Amino acid sequence: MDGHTEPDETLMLRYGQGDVGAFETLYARHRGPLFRYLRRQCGRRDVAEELFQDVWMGIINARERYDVRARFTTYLYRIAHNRVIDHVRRRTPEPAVDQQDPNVILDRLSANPGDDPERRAEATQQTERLVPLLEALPDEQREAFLIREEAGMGIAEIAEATGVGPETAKSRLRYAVAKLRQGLGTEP
Amino acid sequence: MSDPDTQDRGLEDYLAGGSALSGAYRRLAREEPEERLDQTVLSAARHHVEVQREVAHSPFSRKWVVPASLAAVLVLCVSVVLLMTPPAPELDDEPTLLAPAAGGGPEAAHGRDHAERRRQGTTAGSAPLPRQAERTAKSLDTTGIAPPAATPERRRSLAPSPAPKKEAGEKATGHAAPVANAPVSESEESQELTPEAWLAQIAELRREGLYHAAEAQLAAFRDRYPDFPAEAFLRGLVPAASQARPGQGAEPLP
Repeated sequence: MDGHTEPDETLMLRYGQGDVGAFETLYARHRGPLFRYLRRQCGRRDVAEELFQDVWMGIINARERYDVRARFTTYLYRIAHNRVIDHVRRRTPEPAVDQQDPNVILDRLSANPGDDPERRAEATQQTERLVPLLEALPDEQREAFLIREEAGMGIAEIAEATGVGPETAKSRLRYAVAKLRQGLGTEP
Repeated sequence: MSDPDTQDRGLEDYLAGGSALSGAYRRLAREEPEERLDQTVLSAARHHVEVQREVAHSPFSRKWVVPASLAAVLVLCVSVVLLMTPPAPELDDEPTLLAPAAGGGPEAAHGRDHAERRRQGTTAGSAPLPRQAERTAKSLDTTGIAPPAATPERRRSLAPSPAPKKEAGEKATGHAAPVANAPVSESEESQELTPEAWLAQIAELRREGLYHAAEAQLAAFRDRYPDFPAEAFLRGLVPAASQARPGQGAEPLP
């Protein structure tokens, strides 16, 4: 089977049997979303890099014990969630989250010159507002939103990854979405 | 903030996908980990697999740990059992000493003591050894025999007065008569031969061609009378013609 269509769980099992190529495919699929989740959840890039490496080392060390009980993505973000929790518990008060360079924030928009200037301006405003809105969310609500956006998980999987019940996860996501929409002025 | 119903509808709309909120989030910078970080993680993944392979191919790999441990435990148990098992009574080359025909004679008593001590094993330690040697010497002394090792040759010479007819029968049949079948009575034991009479018997044996028995008797004689000039006495008793053994030319007698 082609590595690009093979399920994550199969790739992880193959890596547990010594197939490094399977791990490379798995890593390529999840490196970006996981890094962004950690980056936005922790605020600092250096911390995000440290946690990112820590999460993957956990995956590597557990390769022989891996058992398909849930989706690999759930397993991966459960580990990431635990690392973030550990980090939050031991961190000391830090300076305010480093502000992203507006050019970096908007680079994706800049790379799309065909947009309508009015819509582009509106989107730019929304995106500029989104970052502080995200940072203002409680950690649990922001986490639910980020996992939904980056990993595409549903309510049940978010609940499993974050170790809470489905109702709690749904509530967190609902509040997060409502606050962000209200801040962006895009309420339905 | 909007009421719960609005929030629920907003959540359903958001989960359905394609919302403006999701669009705004996707327009954020798509940050990626640096290539350095990628290399670190991928190198670690490769390294762990290589280590796993090395361990799997090493002679002390995990799959051999259990069998090797079981084998070691088994060897240890067998060794301990063998060490703790008392040795079985040996049926050695001394049946004559243990034979019931020996009755209540000193040899039989000595044999019973010997066997008893063997049954008791080595737990008795080395203390009984001097007593055993003393008892052996005493019993041999009562038979009138010097106490050298009890080889078959020596056993045949236990009695100071030889039995030429038995020797002749032994030579004819080729089998040694067991000593226990010829018990030595107290009167025979106490019967002392003079050195001259003993040497005369030895000379008689030589004359009859029983050199083997004669040498055994001579050895016993030398043990008992080391200072007696046996050779000179025998030369006077044995004719010169019969001093050479058959097939040995004209070699002098010892």
